Amino acid sequence: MNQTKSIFYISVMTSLMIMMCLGTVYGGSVTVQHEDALQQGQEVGVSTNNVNRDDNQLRLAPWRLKDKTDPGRESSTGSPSVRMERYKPYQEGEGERKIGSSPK
Amino acid sequence: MKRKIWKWFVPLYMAVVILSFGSCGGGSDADQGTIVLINNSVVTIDGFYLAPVDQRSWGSNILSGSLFSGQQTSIVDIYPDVYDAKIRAMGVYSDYFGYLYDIPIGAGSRYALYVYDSSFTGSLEIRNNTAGASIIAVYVVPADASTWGVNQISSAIGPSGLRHLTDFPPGLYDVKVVWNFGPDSVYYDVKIDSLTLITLNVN
Repeated sequence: MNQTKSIFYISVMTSLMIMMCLGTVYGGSVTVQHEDALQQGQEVGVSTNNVNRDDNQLRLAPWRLKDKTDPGRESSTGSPSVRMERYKPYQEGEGERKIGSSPK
Repeated sequence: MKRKIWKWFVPLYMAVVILSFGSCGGGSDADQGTIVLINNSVVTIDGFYLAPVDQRSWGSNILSGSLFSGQQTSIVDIYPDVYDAKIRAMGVYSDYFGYLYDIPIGAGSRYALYVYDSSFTGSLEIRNNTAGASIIAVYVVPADASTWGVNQISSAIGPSGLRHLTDFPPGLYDVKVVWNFGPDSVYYDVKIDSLTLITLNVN
């Protein structure tokens, strides 16, 4: 009896760990692909010798705040058969309510 | 008399020509601004767009070539105005974007725009792993959003098909997949990072 219990707990724990590692969610699975050097945590150095020290230093960020159109090509990576689309940013209150479908 | 006029005319003409060439190009450097784009990230930047803040379009790419990791380039002769900037990077798995808004370029001003790994957006790929069902809508919203937003795909994803969505700010997202039959599939807290392609295999 005890042996059966142990086997049951071990199998439950193992499956939970596998699910956490693979990021499995509701019958699907998630694969993560980082761009190379980022995966190794490398910070690429750059010579700033030629940059004037009096420069106004700014940093680009991944936040799209304005919806400017892009007449140029949208993508340059991958097979032309893979269709790419640009994310349409969320607007507060837009679309169907989540409540009722969320298990949170 | 003729020779005397000719003697004066030639040096005068040459002086005018030299002065004209000197003022060519729309003014001196002091009248315009400069941006130094410094790629401190691991990816190659293949697009840089600079548009006045009130312009609706990003316009064309102003980089003459690729800006590899560790390189920098100067964009000179920028007419004084307030600009928005966008970069595009070509990664191994996807394309990524970075933005900067309201850059006040003044006469003689010089800005250094630094690009780091964290400057870029991430991407999400939806793979339909079924043999007979089609995905007719995909909703992707920040995990703390109260509604599902708009459908992210412009056409259905057939069996064994995939769709690549780009330009996500890093963060946690909830994803709802709507099938042509059967219940919806919902995936909570999918983490999208900078310079990362997340593939969601759905069935």
